[in-house]
Amino acid sequence: MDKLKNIFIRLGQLDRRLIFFLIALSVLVPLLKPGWVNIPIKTTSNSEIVFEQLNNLNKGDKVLVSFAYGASTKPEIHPMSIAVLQHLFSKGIKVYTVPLWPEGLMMAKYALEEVIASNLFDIREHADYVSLPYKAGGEIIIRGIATDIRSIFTQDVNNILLKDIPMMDGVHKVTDFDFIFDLSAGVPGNAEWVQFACDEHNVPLSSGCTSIMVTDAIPYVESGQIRGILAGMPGAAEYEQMVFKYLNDLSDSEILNENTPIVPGKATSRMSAQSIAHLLMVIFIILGNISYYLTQRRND
Amino acid sequence: MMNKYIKYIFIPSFILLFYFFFPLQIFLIGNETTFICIILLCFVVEYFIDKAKSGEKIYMRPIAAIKAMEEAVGRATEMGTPVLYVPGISSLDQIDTIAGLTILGHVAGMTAEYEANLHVPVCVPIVMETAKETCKEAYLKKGRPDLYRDDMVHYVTDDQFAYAAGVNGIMLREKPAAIFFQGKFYAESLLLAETGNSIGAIQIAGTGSSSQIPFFVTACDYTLIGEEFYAASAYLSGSPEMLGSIKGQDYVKVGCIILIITVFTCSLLNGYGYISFDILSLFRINVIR
Amino acid sequence: MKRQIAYFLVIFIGFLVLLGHFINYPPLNNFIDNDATQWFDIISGFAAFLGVMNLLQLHLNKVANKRSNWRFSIITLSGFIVMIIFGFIYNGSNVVMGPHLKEEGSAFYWMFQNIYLPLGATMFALLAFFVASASYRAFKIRNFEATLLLISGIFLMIGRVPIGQLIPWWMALEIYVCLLFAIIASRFKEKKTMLYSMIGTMLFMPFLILFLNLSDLGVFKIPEFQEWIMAVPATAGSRAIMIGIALGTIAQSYRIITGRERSILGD
Repeated sequence: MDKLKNIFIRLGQLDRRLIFFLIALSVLVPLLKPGWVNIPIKTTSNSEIVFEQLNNLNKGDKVLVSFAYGASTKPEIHPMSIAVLQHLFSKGIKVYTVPLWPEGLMMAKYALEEVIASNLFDIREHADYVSLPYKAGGEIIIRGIATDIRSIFTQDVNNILLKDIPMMDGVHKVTDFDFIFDLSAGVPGNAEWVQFACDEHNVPLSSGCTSIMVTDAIPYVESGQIRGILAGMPGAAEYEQMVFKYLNDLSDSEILNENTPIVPGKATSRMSAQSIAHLLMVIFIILGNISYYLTQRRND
Repeated sequence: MMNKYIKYIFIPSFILLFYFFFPLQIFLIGNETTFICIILLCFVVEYFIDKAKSGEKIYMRPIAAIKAMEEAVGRATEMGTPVLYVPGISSLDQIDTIAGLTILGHVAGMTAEYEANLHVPVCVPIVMETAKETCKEAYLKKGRPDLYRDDMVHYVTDDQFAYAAGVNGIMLREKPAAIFFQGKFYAESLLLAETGNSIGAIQIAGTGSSSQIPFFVTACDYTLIGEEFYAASAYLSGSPEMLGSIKGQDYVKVGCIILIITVFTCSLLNGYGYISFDILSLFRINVIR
Repeated sequence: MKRQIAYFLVIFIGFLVLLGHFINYPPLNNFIDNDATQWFDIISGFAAFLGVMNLLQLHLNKVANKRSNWRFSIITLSGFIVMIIFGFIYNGSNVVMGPHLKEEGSAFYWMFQNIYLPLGATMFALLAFFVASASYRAFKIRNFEATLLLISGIFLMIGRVPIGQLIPWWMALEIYVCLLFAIIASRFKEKKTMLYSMIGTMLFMPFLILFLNLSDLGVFKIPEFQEWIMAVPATAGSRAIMIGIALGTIAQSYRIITGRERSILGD
C-alpha cells in the first residue's frame, strides 16, 4: 500500500520536461496517424447561430470580413476564415475583406487564394470580392468604416480606385453592408466592432476568435451584440463540418462547380489531437491532486 | 459648506441641464449616457479627493500584491540579481501601459533606494522613451542619479511572440529574483509567467486584460486583478488625493451595483406583468429572437 | 520648466480629446478622429527609429566588448540586417520596391512565409506545453477558490473538445461524486469510511438518477455543462471585471488629465 502511495506521490511531482514530451506525443500521434483517433464532432449552439446567421443571407448581399489575426494565431483562425469564405461564396454573397492588423493583409490574401485554388467556385476579384488594403489606426479605421469608408480607403489592395470598382457602388458606410464578420485574435477585434460600428448602427455582427479571447467576447454574445461566436479551433472545426455538410447537400447550385471534390477543412483533422492533449492534461491534474492529497496526509 | 454644495451639486446639475436643454446644437447626438456617466464619476471622484485633502482618513484594504512589491525588490537586492520589469506589449495609447509605467516609477524608486539593478525590456519604442524618463526621474528623486544607466531600459522588438521569446531569454540568462508584469498582455502572458516561475523568481503581475488574469493568477505569486491594477499607482504613492480618487471610484461602483439591481428588479417585474414600463427600452440591445 | 510644459500638454490635450467626443464642432471632431491619431502615428514612427537605434547600439556594444552572451547579439544583428536588405535593397521579384513585400516571388515574402510564419505559430504553440505544466502545478484542491478553478478548468477542457461528447451521463455523474468526495475528504477521520461511502455513492447514485428519470439533464452532459459555465458564471465574472476595469480606467484617466498622476512624468 505504501509503495502504491509512493508511486502516486511521484506521479504528482513529474519533471516538466516529461510533461512537455508527453503533451508533444499526444498532439503528434493523432496528427501523423489520423486514422487511429477519429472522434465525431458535435456542433455547439454558438457555432450553429453563426451558421444560421450567414445562411439566412441572400445572393448579392454584402458582407464585410475583417481580418485581425496574424502568423501566431493562423492555425486557430485561418480554418474558420476559409470555411466562412466558402460559405459566403457558395451563396453568391459579395465579400469585402479588410485587414485591421498588418499581417491581416497576408492572411486575407492566403485565405482568398486557398478558396480560389480549391476550384469549388468561379470567383473573380472585383466581381465577387474586393480586398481593401491595410491602414494603421485600429479602432479609428473601424470608426471610419462606420461613418465614411471612402475617407479611409480610396483604393483597393491592388491600387485600383474604389470608384472604378462596380462592386463598391453604393458602399459608403457600415450600414451599406448586410453583415459584418470579424476574425480576430486581439485588439482591434470584435469588441471594437461592437463599440464603434455595429451596435451603434445596428448592423449584425458575428465573430470568430481564439479560445483565449472568448471569455472577453462572451458578454457581447450573451447580450446579442455579437450573433454567435466561433471559439478557437473547436469552433472552426464545428463550422467546417456544417459548411461541409451544407456544400454536399447543395444540389443544382449554379455557383458550385460540379465534379470538384469537397474536402473538410484542416481544423476538423486537428480536433483529435486537441482532444487527446486535453484528456492528458486532465489526467495530469488528477494525478497532481492525488499526490497533493497523499502528501498532505503524510505530513499530517 | 456652501462652497461644497455649489461645487458638487450645483455645478454638475448645471452642466447636465446645459447639455440637455441648450437650444443650439453644440453637442453630438448619441453620447448622452456616456456624458452623464463621465460627469457623475468625475464629480464623485473629485468630492472624495477634496475630502481626503481636507484631512479625512481613508481606509484602504490591504492589497497583498502591492505590499509584496517592496519585499520583491528587497529579495532581489539580497540575492544580488536584477529586478525585471515587463511593462506589457502595447503602446501608450492603452491606459494599461500608462498604469504600468506609473507603477514602474515607484518600483524604480524602490530599486534606487535598495541599490538593486533594474532591467526593463520594452516592446514599443515610444514606451521605451517614456520608461527611460520615468526611471531617470525616479532615480533622481531618490537622490541616486549615479545608479541610473541608460541601458536599463531597452527595446527588444515590436512583435508579440518575438518579444516574449526575448524576455524569456533574459529571464533564463539573468535569473532575476523579482519579476514584475505590469501592463497590457495578450497570449504571451503565460509564456512569460511560466518561464519566470521555472527560474524561481517572485512574480507580481497586474493587467487590465481580463482574459490574461487567470494565467497570471495561476503562474504568479501575486496578481493585481482588474481595477486593483489601476489603483496600484495611487496606493503606492499614498497621497491623500490619490487615495480619495480610489474611494470615489468605489462609490461609483456602488452606484453601478444599485443600477444593476434596479434594472434587474424592473425587468423582472415587467416580465411578470406587475409593471408596464420596460426599462430595457432605455438601452440599445440587439437580442436574437 | 520642462516638467510644467509636460503637465500643461497632458492636461490640455486630455481635455481637448474628451471634449471632442461630445462637442459638435467639425474641426475639433476632425482633429480628434483623424489628425490626433495621425500625429500619434508619426511620433510613434519616429520613436520606432529610436528603438531601432537603441537595438543596434545595445547589440553592437555587446559584440564589440564581448560581454556575456555576445554571440546571441550576432544572430540578432544578422537577422536585422538580412530583413533590411530584403525589405529595402534586394527585391527578387518582378514588381517594384514597395509592393514587392507582398509579392510571392520576392525574398522578403519568402522570409515571411517560410521563417516568420512558422516561428510565430511555434511560439503560440508553446502555450500548449505551458498550459499543461501550469495546470498540473496549480490546479490543486487547496481552498475553495482553487477547487472552483480546478472544477471549471477540467469541465471546460473536456467539454470543449469532441471527446467530451463521448462521455456518457453516468460517467459524468461518477466524476461529480469523485469531485465531491475529493472536496470533503479532509472531513473524514477514517480513510476506510470515506472509501466505502464513496464506493457506495458511486454505485447507488446512477440507479437513483435512472429511477427519477433525470439522466437527460444537461448537467450530466459535459459539453452542455461546459456551455452553461461559459454562458452564466464566466459571463457574469467577465462582465464584473469589465465594469471594474472600465471604472478603474476612467478614474486613472481622470487623475492623469487633471495632473494628479505625475509619476509617469517622473514626479
